[in-house]
Amino acid sequence: MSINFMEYLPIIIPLLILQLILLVTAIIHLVKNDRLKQNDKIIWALVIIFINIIGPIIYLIFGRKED
Amino acid sequence: MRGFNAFVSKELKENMRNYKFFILGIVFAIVGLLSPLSAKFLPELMENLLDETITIILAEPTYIDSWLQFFSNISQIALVAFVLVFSSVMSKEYEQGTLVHMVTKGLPRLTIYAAKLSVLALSWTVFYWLSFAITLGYTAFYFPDGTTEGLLISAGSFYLFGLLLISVLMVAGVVFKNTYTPLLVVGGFIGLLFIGNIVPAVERWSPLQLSTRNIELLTTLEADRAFTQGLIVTLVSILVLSILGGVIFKRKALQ
Repeated sequence: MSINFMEYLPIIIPLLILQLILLVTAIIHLVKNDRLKQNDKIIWALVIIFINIIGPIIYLIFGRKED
Repeated sequence: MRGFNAFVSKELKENMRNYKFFILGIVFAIVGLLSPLSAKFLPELMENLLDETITIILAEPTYIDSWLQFFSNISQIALVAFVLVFSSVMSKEYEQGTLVHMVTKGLPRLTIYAAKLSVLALSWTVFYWLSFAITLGYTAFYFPDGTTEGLLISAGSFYLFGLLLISVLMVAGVVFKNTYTPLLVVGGFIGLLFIGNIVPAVERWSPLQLSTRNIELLTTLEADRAFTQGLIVTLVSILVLSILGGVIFKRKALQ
């Protein structure tokens, strides 16, 4: 592999930061959310952590149960 | 006017608190970042993944590739996310009957409709141009020899296409009371446009050109007659659909 990673850093770092913000927001919301059962919370936590980008978004749209 | 301002600020606050703006902001920013990255990264990745015995000749990526990625990502990811997130724009109010209170307290129905439409159009404007600005910056950074000529008309036409879909979404949201039908209507609308493209006479007037011919515009730098026609049809449709939605909403039962 001869890909020069340094060249891509200015774009990869903001991308990672955005993902991290999304992940942290979803996790904080999940921890504070008392409308979900404990078991559901664990499943949502796995979804949020392991499905990149889409997982937290799905949780924030469908999993919040706030309305 | 006071009612309009109040309703707009209520909408803005609501979308802020239910994370809609947050999600869209991140999705549009990621699309903006991803486009120049994939334009630059993909040819290199291909070269590394392929076997030594196979040789393919890949052209050095240019700023055009970056914008190609941008238009394909923004139409396939960002616009879809936008419509998905806002598909419940009217259905929630119908479901919970929250509009009844405001109308009985004297807020004109047209004000409610206009405020909802403005908030949607405003958020599309902000997020779209945010994504555009990010791609613009990184494209200039990674492909310094690219120009920005023809970019405004190319990106502006897709922006108008987005506005058209928003007005379709609002009409569908007013007419149908559940969350999923407006989604289907918008999807069906795009499907119809694609089917219409089979007929050359329709194709020459089709608003779909605004979302499919962006790169062509960027390379040729001039809009032909068919494109101008598509542009006019789009502008008229946006106007007609917005008014139509207001008229229907005036007569609609609120619960």
